[in-house]
Amino acid sequence: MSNQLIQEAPLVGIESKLARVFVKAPTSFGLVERSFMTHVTLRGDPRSKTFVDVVERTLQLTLPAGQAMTHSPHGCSAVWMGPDEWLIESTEETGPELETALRNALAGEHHAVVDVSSGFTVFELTGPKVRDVLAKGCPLDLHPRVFPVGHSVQSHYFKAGITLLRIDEECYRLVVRRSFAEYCCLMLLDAADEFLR
Amino acid sequence: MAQTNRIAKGGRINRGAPLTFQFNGKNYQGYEGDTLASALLANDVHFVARSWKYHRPRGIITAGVEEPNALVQLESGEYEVPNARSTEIELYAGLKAKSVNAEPSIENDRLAVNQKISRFIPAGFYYKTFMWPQKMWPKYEEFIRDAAGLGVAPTELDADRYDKAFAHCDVLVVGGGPAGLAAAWVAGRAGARVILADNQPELGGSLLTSTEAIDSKPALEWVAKLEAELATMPEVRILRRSTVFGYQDHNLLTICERKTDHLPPRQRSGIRERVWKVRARKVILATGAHERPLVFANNDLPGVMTASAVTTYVRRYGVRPGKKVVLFTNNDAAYQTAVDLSEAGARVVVVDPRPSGRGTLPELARRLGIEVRNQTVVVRCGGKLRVDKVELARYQNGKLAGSAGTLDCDLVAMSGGYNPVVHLFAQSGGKARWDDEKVCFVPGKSVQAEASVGACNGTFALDATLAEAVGVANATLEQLGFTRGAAPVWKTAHVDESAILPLWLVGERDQVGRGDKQFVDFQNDVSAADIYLAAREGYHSVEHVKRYTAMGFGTDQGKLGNINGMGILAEALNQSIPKTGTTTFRPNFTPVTFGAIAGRELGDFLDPIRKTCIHEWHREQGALFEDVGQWKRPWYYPKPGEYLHAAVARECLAVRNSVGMLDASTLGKIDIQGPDAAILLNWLYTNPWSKLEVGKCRYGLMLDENGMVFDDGVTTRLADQHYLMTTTSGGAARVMNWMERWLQTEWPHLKVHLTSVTDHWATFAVAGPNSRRVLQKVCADIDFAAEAFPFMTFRAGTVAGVAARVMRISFSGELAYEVNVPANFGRKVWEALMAAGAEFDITPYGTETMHVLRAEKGYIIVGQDTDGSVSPIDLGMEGMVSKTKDFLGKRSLFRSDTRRNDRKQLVGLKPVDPTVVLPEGGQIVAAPTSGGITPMLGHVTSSYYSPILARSIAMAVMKGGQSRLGERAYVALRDGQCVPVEVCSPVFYDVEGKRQHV
Repeated sequence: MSNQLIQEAPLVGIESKLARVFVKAPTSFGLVERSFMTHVTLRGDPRSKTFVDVVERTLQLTLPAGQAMTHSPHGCSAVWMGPDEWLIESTEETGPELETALRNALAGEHHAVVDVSSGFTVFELTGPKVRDVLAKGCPLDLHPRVFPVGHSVQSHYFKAGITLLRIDEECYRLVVRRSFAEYCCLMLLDAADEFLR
Repeated sequence: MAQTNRIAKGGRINRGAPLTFQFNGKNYQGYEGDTLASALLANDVHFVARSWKYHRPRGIITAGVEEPNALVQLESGEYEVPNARSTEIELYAGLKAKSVNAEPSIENDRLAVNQKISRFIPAGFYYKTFMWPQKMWPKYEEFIRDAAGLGVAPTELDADRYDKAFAHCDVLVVGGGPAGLAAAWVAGRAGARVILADNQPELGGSLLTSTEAIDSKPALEWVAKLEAELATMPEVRILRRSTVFGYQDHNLLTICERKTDHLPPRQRSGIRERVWKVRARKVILATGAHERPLVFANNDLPGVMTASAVTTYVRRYGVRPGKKVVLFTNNDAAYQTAVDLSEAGARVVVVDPRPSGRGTLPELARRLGIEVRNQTVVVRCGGKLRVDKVELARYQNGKLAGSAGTLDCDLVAMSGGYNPVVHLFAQSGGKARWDDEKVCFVPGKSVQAEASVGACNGTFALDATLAEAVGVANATLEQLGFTRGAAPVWKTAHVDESAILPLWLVGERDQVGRGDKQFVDFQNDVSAADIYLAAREGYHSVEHVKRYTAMGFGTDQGKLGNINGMGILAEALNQSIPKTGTTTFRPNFTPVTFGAIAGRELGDFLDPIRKTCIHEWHREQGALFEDVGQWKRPWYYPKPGEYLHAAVARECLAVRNSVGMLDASTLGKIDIQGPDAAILLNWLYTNPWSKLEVGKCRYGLMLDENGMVFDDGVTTRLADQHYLMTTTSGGAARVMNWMERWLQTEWPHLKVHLTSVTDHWATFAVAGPNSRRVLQKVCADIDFAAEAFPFMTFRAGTVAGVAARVMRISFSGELAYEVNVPANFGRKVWEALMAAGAEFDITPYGTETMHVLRAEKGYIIVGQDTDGSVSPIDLGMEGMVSKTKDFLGKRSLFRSDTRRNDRKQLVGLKPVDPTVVLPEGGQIVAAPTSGGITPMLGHVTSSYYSPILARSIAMAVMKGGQSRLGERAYVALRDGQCVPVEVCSPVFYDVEGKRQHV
């Protein structure tokens, strides 16, 4: 955790703008950067029982098999990214720790595990207007009937690729590549403009 | 000024809120709830426009979206809107509008003279007239450009904000009239996600002007009840003032919602227009119908309107557009207009080509004492700036049968029947079908998941419309898996109707073109005679006739006139209307503003701006930035008083003589893992990879299927089955897609996984003779000694306390290291390196210096020195092309064209005058030239002043260049001068390559 003293989040260039926008803490839409979360990309064959068993035992969660995310009791979660790809998130372990643990456990099994913690950042979006803000740049249907709590999708917000997670009724997490973070955040703020006045 | 045509009471206007507005410089009054058109008519202003070609006086002809004439230039400056339809402009206080296509004013329009020469400028005249003498064309063009068009493009930047939103629903209902309301209500009640879009400020559609009753109450009470219930349904969204302008593939419909246009500009805030992109599981079209005009001489005079428009002005806006009215109709529905006018105190004579019938409405009209002249037609209108009389003729057995006298009047209401609004249906891919009984095109077979209900389906009667809407909505619910509720019972009276009589050209066919013009397409000044002319000249396809006459072009796209035009063309060709067919209905249904199409993706939001983790540091140091793909990269770091040239010279010499540092984080980086990783690399790169040892780096060239270079970079073997590939900054995504494509489509058996790590790793190039000493100060766990850490190898270690990957590679030809650390730690490590380098005067350098340094060494930049048509052999890199293995693009290298030895090849150029820096893109010629045709040998791809060599250098591609080394050539400048150059090797500095190996 001492790392956080020397780490810098991707939104450093617009921190003051963010603070200005949210100084009045609007209730209809909120945006908070959850920086420095651990992200590890895991690739492997879900048809291999060994692969699935080892990962599930190591992470203490069930690997999701469709557009959803699962959680461990220890602050770790797995987001389905494709038929052979997951994004492992953690608030407890560092990227290198998680990478090493998985790589060692999966020795001998064809897989790839890559620490990408600095490659992504996470925006937590809250409030009753979140869906309206997202609808301005994300073409997917986010209605609760189609996108319930616990679901995950890869899509885009305007021209930035995103992974979107539904955490709660009015809480979404948007995972975006580091270099697109500022653009994506500015587009979100711009889209939310009518709700922040 | 008094509103002389305003009826004492009635209408959906707010008489408590009078509004002052300005039209053509004069002030008028109207009421809240008026349109600009209704307010003008209330003030007895009929003459509002000049026509496009002949500049004839024109009036308001409709009350809606189909209006061809009453276009205005609305407001000015940053709120200016050209070609706004006054029938759709909601009146607000202080509105200012003026007529389009009339200078200096509509009364004294300069081009009104065109009316006098109109006989000589029929359809297609400009194809024949402006052909000779050919050299006069530029003059003609100037005049035509000036004369063409309607409104004027605004010149100021738009002050308004526009945005877009995606939406999804089970059912999208287009149109908020009786059919749409009923369908939306039935679907919404069952819990379906419904979007109801209507282009008016209030729902109700035709019921807004109707006298009919539903459940024995005025129809608008039914509208209010349904609207209130829809508002309580959480999954129903109602979009008012919203035009569905496009029906695209896969049930994607585009809607433009106008949110602030009804307010005075200074009171507007927020978003002016929003484009909704709706994916609907099912679409119910309830778009209604537009009334057809009738085609007789001078039918375009101000004061000639469609009957339904007259009813709308009387009943919805409380305006009586005339006192002495001739109503000319071939159907029963228009008799309602006679009733409405009569109740509003006007004197009406109905002219009907049909014999007397027993329909409900004609009976009602007769009971009210309205005069009806059966078996009679209007053949001609008279009047100068407004209709003042009509000439009648007897009509028997489908032919004119002699004069039936004249009638004085100040208004002609006409009805030729109704055209279902099949535009969206047709855009969805469906083909309209001609219905002989209803005398109109109706929707044919559905192509996408949609259904038409009500008038747009040719179902005109209210009782049938409601029943049809409920039926379709229920069927839709069933298809979508919803449980339908009990069918609602809405009681309406049945209206008996006599059949409509098809009536296209009202006049003798052999006299067409002899007398006054009979207009078909009002906006494009197309008359019946023009259609006959086109047919005579051999244009038989309706699409050809459209293009020859201009019928159906313009801002209204022929909404009003097209079907009449097709009817007349069918008569001219003696064939049926179905055989003649319709032109294609294309999006957009109505014009959409550029603002709405652009949305928020303007300026800095046009494209993502990607930044590295050192961006703020660069900015603090005063760096100027260069766009590289979507990235912002430091271009150079000027010191106070320094321009580009001085700053770059300082940065270059710092690297050559001591040490510099470049933020190379934008390099594409792809993590490759798996037992088959080397096999994949062998396929991708031209050179062999099987024997690369762990801990070593290698440069590779990637070719496309044509054998042309499309990316390059250094790949490092990190571990036995683990590689890190770097790509060009702009090419990262392209290379990743390329690799995934081959893996997924051709080589799924390869056990290898790819992960993009571009954003994770920050990369800093520390370059120069002192780079080793800088790194030694911040990294204790790597032995930097030359033999312990040789060129083109990799070591893992800890730089400034952060786990790092350090590669000894060089893009400058100097001793250099690339330090890779996770981007979150990037700034800390960068600053530690700067601090460690302070004693060597470490100099941050930008992309310009990077370019100069690599050009001094003859290193290419893919995309600058190559353009997709350059092979590795052209680059003189044949040594990198493996003879023993296969790779992507290899076979193409053996095609005769690729083997030619006069292909453009990479060379260096040294200007004879070492102070002259050649322009990039400059053409190479064999000898000085001025004018005439000169063979071009190639062009300059990179050109700089080299500070270390104290002379200008350039790289170029040149035909057969590799065999021309030492020869003299010339680079032609734009001003006609030619710069002599010596063709040379592209390696200008440290030819033996010793410096990077120290």
